[in-house]
Amino acid sequence: MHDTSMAKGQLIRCGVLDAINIPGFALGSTMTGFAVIAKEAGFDFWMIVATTASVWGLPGQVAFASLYATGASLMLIFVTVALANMRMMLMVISGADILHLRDHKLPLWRRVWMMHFLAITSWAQIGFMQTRYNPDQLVHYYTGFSLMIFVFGMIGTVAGFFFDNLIPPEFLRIIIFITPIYILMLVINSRQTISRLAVVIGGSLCPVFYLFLGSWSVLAAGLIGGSMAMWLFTYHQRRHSNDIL
Amino acid sequence: MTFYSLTEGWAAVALAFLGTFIWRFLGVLLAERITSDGPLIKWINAVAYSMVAGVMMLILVFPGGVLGTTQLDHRLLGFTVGMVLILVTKRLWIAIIGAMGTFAIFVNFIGG
Repeated sequence: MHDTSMAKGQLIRCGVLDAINIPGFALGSTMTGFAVIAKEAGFDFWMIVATTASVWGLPGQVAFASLYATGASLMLIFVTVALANMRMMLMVISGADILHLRDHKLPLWRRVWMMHFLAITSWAQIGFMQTRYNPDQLVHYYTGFSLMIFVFGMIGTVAGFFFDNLIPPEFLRIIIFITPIYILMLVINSRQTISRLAVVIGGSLCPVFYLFLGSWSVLAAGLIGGSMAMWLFTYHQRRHSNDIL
Repeated sequence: MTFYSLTEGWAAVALAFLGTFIWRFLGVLLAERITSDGPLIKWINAVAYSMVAGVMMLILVFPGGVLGTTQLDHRLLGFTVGMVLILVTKRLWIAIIGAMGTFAIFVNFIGG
């Protein structure tokens, strides 16, 4: 199934081209949305740019701007952003595994640098592309894809700051709608049954939990959804193998 | 309008960065120590998928900003059309256009 004949440059180019498509424009627009919120909250231009470049994780950025607008304490900002972006740890572990990062024997700073560009879109994309490329190829594909997505994110951020009055909200809200839809489509099409189960359970539980738990709902739904998916899958497998025996 | 001095503003940006960086850094360190085929990585993967789906569903159901000016049933309708199309056709662009088109029509023409 994997095409093994592709060279490094070609793979990077494939990643770049896949990013200059729905994911790039969708993520760029989402960052435009962030810049609009952040400008309203009182950020200056360089603060907005620095936030997108250094945090590079939309839910945390939006939480940051929303708290900033209310004049929350710096400690509360830190804790809330940390909570909103906690899933980065799991995504990095999972992403490093998908890319077989340990086999590449890269120094720590290189691995940290590479994973800085891992956000939901590029993580979901490499999970989706696992069927097309082997892990060695996927590293190059990821390099091209994640860097190009980052470029789109920065352009979207800058555009949001300068053109916030020019973009009609009727248009912006439709564009912003694409990102969650696109990511959900990628994850529901994951190769592994267990991941698809986790998506259905976690995605259904989270909005319900949100009513009771607020920002803790993502963590709770994630842990319960992931664990239930794992349990259901192994239970089903065990029963199936007993049937054969 | 802002509640912070310039220094405080930048301190807030630095803290937001730190609040994200610690998780990525921990992830890189832990990825080295977790065996690739074990049940732990399977569980971590499942939780990551579950969390990402959760975050995205929150954006759809309880959005802030400009998306928050649209109706929940319009967003859910667009979402449902997209999901049905992706599961039936397996083609991303058809599903995206279907979801976006449905949403755009309902939001802009059938009362938003």
